[in-house]
Amino acid sequence: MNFLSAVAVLKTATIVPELIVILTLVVVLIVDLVSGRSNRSLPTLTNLGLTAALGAIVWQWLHPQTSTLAFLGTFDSDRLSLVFRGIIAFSALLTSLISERYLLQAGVALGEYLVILLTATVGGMFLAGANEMVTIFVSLETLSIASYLLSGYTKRDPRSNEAALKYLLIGASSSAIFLYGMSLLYGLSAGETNLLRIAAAIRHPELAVVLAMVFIVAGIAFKLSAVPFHQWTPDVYEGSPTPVVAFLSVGSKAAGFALAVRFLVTVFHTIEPEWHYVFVILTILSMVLGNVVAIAQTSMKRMLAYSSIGQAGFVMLAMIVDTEAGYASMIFYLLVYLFMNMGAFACVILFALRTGTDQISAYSGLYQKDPLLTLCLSICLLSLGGIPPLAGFFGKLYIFWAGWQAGAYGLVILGLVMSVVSIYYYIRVVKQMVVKEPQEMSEAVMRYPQISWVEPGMRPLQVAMVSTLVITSIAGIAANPLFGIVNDAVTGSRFLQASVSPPVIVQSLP
Amino acid sequence: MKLSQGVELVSLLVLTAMVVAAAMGVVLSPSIVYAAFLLGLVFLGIAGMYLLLNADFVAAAQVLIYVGAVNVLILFAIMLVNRRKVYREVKLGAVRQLVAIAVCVSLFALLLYTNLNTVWLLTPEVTALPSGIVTLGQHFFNEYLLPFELASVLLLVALIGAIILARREFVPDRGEENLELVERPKELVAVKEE
Amino acid sequence: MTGIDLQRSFIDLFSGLGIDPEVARVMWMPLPMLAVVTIATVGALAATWLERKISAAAQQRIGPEYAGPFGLAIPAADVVKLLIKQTVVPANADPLLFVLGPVIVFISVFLSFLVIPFGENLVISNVATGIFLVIAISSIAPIGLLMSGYSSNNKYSLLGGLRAAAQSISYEIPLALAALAVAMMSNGLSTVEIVEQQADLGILSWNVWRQPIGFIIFIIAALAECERIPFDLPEAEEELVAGYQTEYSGVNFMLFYGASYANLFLSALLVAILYLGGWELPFPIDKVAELLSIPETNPIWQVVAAFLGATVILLKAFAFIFLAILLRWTVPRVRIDQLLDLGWKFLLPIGLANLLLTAALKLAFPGAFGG
Repeated sequence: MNFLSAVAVLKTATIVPELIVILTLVVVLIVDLVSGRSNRSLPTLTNLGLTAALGAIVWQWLHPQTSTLAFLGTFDSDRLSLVFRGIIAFSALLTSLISERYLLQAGVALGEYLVILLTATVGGMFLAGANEMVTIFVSLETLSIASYLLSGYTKRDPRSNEAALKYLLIGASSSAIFLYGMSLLYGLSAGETNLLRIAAAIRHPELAVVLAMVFIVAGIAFKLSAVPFHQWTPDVYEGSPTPVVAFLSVGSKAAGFALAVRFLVTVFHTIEPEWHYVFVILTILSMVLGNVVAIAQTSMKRMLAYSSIGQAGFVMLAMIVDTEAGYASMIFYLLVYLFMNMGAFACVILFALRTGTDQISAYSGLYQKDPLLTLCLSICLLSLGGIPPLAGFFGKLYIFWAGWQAGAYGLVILGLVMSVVSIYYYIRVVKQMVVKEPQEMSEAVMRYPQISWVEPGMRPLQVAMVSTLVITSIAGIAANPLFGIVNDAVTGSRFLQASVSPPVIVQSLP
Repeated sequence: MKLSQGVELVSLLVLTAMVVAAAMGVVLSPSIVYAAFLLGLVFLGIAGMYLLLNADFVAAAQVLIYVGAVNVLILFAIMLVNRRKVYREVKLGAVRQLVAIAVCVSLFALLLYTNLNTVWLLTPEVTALPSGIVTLGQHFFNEYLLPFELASVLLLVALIGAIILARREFVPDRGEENLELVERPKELVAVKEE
Repeated sequence: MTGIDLQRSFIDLFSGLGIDPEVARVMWMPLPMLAVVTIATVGALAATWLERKISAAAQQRIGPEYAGPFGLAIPAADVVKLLIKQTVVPANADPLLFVLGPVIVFISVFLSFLVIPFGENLVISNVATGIFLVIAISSIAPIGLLMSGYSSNNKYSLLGGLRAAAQSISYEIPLALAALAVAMMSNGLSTVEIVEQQADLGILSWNVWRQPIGFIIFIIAALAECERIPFDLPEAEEELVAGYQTEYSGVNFMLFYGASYANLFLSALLVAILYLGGWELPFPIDKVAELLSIPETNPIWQVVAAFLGATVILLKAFAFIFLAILLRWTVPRVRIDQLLDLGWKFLLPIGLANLLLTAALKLAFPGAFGG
């Protein structure tokens, strides 16, 4: 078999976005090695590479293939995976934009950081389309190991060390549990690793299948930081460099959701009630604990950590209603969550850069000194809370509507209550910033430096902030294109279609 | 029973006993050095199991990587930082241990029950291969091509990450607080504001 | 399969005497094991004798002379002396680990002889993982070294053990990379395959011509693995007394001593197998047989050929040992940082480049590089 026919058989074209990211990674590494420490072009290179990868994803979206399985069934490049890969790549792009200044100010090397970030992106993107257990595990580990390294990147800071160590230990044990679950599936299906073949081989809902499901859900829930697998989240978020937290809370989580949907829906269709049941518990716990504990936080990063747990609860709610609208609302919410959460983190980073703190109390009176930052942070937080007419409101509305349609009344009502709780703690920050009188201004804000965007790395941060601000503001009102995308993603995915319309399952199996 | 089967059965029993006993030793041994050496024994026992499964290459790789590299590194780490430190007794230590034992035993019972009550789809006859290497290579370049190649990216970043963590940096001293995160911890903020 | 098959002849012989073939097989089993231990021991003893003699020659002395002809009984006297000496376990040492350490080192070295072929069928087990198995098994040795270093309750021992383990892991990688390049050309890891692939044209087809870089890497790494000067840092007497061996005496010391020379012998055999055509003579012996019109199945010819092959591989191996001993008296010891730099920053990249080059050459000239 010569090279070209191998390319044709494997359908290598499906992973062009990932290949672009890998190429960027190598180029950044070599440029960093050759040109030495003073090179300023590395973030630009990274951004260009990620933009090109996004372009490739858009191109693939516009030119859909009839058969999406590539690499002999290892990788599924359907529209669902394209959307998730897009979200991950975009979150990496935004992270790279908001990272540069932060790292320069922290005095750590930029090159390796970008390389690890790009590796995490590659891992997440492959995870979003992986259709086979070995690929799933290798890409999951690529994402995880890169994340551990990122969270410990500021290695002279003991908080960062602690974060990395906690993340590593808990992550490794959850990987082991996940692997154990997969090994059960391997045994149950007589040595298959392909998800579709496993699904075909598992016909009886035995106890072993349920056990495998529980183990696998435990592994995935760690990535989603769903309660009770969330203990690492606040500490890791607090100790990691803030741009890394932004990536973990969006990109890594999106990859986890892609994995959850593909794995659970494909393999465990025979025990659908059981895994739904497990996820209902996770959803309820995540929504309640994430949102309630967030109220008590004094550090902005910790508050956003708990809020991200709560937000994951909402997304899980959308996932378990198992209707077309449910999956569509899940992807829609992840899309808007990408922008509003990234925007919030961009603002937190900017504030920390200028004042050196992330205490919520330090934000009081910020309106007087930095209106743009105040506006951006307020919009993003309000959108996270779900205030109309911002994007987050429509996202939540869509989720609750889909849930109500599917008859998940209890969950929807709980979600509504928890939304109100979340609005409380988001608004608290906004109130601190906007309402306070000048004499109530915090010490940090009083010493607020002159606003300037000329330092190296500030422009990208500004671009990221403003673009997320604009998208968060208008994505809700002009949501039709987004709705189109998410609906196409759900209808363009064979396994989701098989799941939401049960009679098709039997025919669609190979 | 033929001779080879008998040898196989006895080897399996011996290996199992060895692995279980050594693993228990790893967990229960109060001396961390003993635990590390016993861990090497566990890895060796697992390699023996691979041999019984006709996976000679995997067995050799297990020995090379886990015994020769991982375990030696663990020992290295222990011996380089072997601070003799008396650890405080954990509060309610006995209760915690009992709870841990209960959880482990119940999990084991569940797994055992599942194992006995599951119809595993197995192909009992083992085709005698000349070696697993060829089969392994064919799998790597067929259905597992993508993870195989992705693993190279993973290993590359693991290498870079290890260097980042281990590299000694000569940085100009930035005062007594040598913290890198831009956000200062709460106490320091408070001190500064006073 | 051509050539002699001792196992089958043995089983046939006993089956002819009316013994069940299954039982005959069981009776056969210990023989090769015994043979391998004997060969390894004798090889190691010969290496110690050579060390004395060649060292003496290098320093213009005569060396051992009175114990037997040319002092040949010296190694035996060594063994007897060490056997009857008292084994001392230092105070506050960990007696279990203290005894276990040298045993592990000894076993890991002797186990590797399983896959060393002295002729086409003169090999205990021709497993497909051959050379990889040797590398894997010899990677266990550092555990024994760490164990004895730790349990001796002696700071020199601990430092020596740590150094030995660090050195051993560092040089295992270039060693494996060099061996991997050879395996790539031979399309297999089996030691027999590797030798057979060098058989066509006598001395011209030996791997040393096709893998000169790999040959040099392997020799350097093998010397380091054996802890020979210039890489004998773990037992550098000026700094560490005797490294991890400091507290050992009697039988335990003999295990270390024997293992280190057996390891040297093993490395020498590996060099011969990987790069110097193993048991192949410098000229293709099959062609000679054809020329003399001796049929391949002639039993006398087979025995002669096997004997020649075994002699040749031993000669090649002892040539390497000779080189190692000469190096001992000509090269100064490196420092520990130089040692690690050489391993990680020089040999490792060169080894990777050699691997890449071999792959490229294999694709470009499949005929000459085993395509």
